[in-house]
Amino acid sequence: MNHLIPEYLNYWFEVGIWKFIRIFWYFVLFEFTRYIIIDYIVYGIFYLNRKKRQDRWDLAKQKFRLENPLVSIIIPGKNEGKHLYKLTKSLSEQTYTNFELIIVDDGSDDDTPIIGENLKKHGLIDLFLRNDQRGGKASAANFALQFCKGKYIVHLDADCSFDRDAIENVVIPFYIDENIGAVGGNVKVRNYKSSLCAKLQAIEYLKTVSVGRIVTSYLGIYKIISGAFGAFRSDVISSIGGWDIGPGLDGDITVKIRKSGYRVYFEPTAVCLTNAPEKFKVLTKQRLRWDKSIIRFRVRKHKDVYFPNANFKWSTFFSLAENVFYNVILDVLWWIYIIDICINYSGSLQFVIPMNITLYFVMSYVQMCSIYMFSERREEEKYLWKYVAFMTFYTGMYLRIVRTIAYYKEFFFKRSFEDPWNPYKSSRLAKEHGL
Amino acid sequence: MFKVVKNNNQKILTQGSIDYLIIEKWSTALEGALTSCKAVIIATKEVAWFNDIVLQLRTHKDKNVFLKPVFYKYDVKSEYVIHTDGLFEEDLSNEMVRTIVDKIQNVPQLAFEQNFDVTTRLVQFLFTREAKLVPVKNRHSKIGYIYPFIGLYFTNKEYEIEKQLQFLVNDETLDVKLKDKIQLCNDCHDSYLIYKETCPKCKSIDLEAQDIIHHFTCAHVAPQEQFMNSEDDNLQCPKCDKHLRHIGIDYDKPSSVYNCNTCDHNFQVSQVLAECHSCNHVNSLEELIEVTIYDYELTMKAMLLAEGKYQVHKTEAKNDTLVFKQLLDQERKRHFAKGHSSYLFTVSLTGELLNILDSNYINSFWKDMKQVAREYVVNDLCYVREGNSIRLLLLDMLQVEAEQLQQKMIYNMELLLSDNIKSHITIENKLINVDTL
Ligand SMILES: [Zn+2]
Ligand SMILES: [Zn+2]
Ligand SMILES: [Zn+2]
Repeated sequence: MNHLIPEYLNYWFEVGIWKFIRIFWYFVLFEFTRYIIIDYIVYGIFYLNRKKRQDRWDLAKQKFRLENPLVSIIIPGKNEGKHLYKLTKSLSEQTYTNFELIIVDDGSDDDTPIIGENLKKHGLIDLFLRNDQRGGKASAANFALQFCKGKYIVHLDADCSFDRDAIENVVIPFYIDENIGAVGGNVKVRNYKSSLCAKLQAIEYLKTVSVGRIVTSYLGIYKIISGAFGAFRSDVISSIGGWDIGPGLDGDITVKIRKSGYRVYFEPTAVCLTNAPEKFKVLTKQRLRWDKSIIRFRVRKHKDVYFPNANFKWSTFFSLAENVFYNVILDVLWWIYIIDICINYSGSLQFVIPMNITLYFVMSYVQMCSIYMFSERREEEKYLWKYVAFMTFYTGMYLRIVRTIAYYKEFFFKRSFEDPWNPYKSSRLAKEHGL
Repeated sequence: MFKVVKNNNQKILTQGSIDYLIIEKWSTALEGALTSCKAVIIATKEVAWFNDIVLQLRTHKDKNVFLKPVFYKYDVKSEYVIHTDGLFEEDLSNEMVRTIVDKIQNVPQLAFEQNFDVTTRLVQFLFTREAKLVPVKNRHSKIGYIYPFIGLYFTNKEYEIEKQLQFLVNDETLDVKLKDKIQLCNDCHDSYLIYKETCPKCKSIDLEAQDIIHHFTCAHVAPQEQFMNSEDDNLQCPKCDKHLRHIGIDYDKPSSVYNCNTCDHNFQVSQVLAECHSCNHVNSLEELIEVTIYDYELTMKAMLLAEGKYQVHKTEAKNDTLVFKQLLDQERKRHFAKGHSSYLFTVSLTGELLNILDSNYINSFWKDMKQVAREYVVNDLCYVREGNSIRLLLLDMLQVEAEQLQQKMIYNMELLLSDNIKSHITIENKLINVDTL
């Protein structure tokens, strides 16, 4: 054992920079550049522009407050009755109060209809709509859309809760730039203390949602407005005909809005807390569904954005291409990388594998530093620092394997059309029409 | 065969040895003749007069009058006929009069005399008739039903009848059979309500319902109106322009939504309100008063009670003996573990002194005895007092145990009786195994 460590260090000293890059090409080319260099550059720009951005924000806020527009909050869902009371509570605490609350019960088979009617009777919600037969999340959201009277529509998940200024902050960006058609909120994990699985997701959300989306939004390639918390301009959403059928309809509608020429914006200060799955088994199921939708929507349904045509836009192209590249192509490349290492460096695996782990370990903490700099609740998130060590295995192995399985199934078998998440009647037709 | 005798302006019809008093209009002068006749025939075509006669008779304070068989000669189309014994028909009516008069004689004066309340009258009335009280649908009654006999005591307050009768149900005088449930206006207790669907926001009745269509392929959901093609009757999706051909395959109608034409509010569940036709009060469904309508019938116990065949002691609950008998029967049929059985323990006091003693003293003595007995029996049902004797049912024990209890009881009883009295009274007691009964 004692002679192993000097030998290990010695090996890496002798390798030299070019061979190092050769061995760790995957890390250097993709992970390091994308998640470290770009993040820090964007943070740098943010930091330098902070005064200007603050002024722009204040101005927008002033305009927003002056206009005081009606905001329609819609919450479609099945069997969400148990969350509704808490949700109305969370919303009644909002700093912005000129909103109507529309709940769509999509064929619940529990007490949701009773709870909903009751809340309506007590004036806690403005409209309670019920479908006796389930039609899927998209149709439920579209149903609500028919009755929205607001200038802006905020789409929420029933099991979320919100910072007091969340609704206000998610709408203000519309007053920064009139070309913004939709604004995504910042989704964080509420139950991050409950289990290791939830803690790792909390860190993941901070990386991919909180920081990741600030960066993609800044670069103009922000690609997915989370269904848990997003705001839309009413006129824009009606012009694109609302939501199409899911799963993955959040990403889908974002692309549709981009395609029709509007900007999509991420607002980190509009914070919404959601419960993450506490067990890996549940998480795996959720991720399989999400990952399948990437193939279905990014690669298949919206393939037109990759080709020059009348609606072609570079930012839309990059937005989808980045998404597809960093998910699908990198996933494939990663396996190629593994094979490459196994074949060409089979004799040095005892050096390569620990080094890889070290690199990812260090990167996780470097990334956490950027999260810390961007964050608006730093103190609470300090709790997560000690768990960052596990991220190498969580994102590096677990999520990658789940993703590979999902892509494989969807790409070759179109499995998402069989997802019980949608009623059969909708899925069957969607598959036929290649949607 | 029969003749009508006119006497002091009063007509009497005698038929088959029964005297019927014929009344055309009520007057207090009839009182005398009423008591001497066995039955009454109402012979008027005036509804008001008819009703007045029925009311005066059935609410009369004299038992011999309000229970009297009452027939009518002309079908006057009055709702009050339900309080009579029907149309006069020679043979049939005679038969009825005999039965009713027989039963009236059996109505014990003693049990009901002092307490001349409505429910007691009802019990007596039912007892002398078919023993049934069947409410009849009637539009003129506020609750939509009229009750024979007792209804006369609650004109315009029909909703209170059920409450009154409930007392009789509780003390096992009446049996019930569910008949109907009706809603009454909260303000005036009338059942004439007009139900209307209204807007939950502004209460307007000017509503329009629209079917909602869900197009599966593109998930578009909108009121049917938006799918209507103006050129033909086809349904066409406004979002994706496809034709909707087949319900269940291309589209479905998951729900419908109301639109209020007054305030433009949308909603799925309209608020149903009940407007009272008599007082215009608009009731929400929650504030309506629900009244249950039953058919009633005298219980066996009440029949026995009315005939005086049911042994009652004023200080004891009336049904104790009956229950005790049933328990005893049960115990006799029961299979016990070896050596175990139930025992009937009887104690009676005899002696001239008991007839002279103040009844209050005797009653308080038995009250104390009951307290003592409570410690030895499983529950009150196993204890019954009949006059100056008590019976106790000792459940499921060994003979030795039963004998020990017997001795303790007698010991305690002697302690309760003061010495000067004890010497004039004999205490007899008996312990019997129920198997030997
Ligand atoms: Zn009324
Ligand atoms: Zn359509
Ligand atoms: Zn209205």
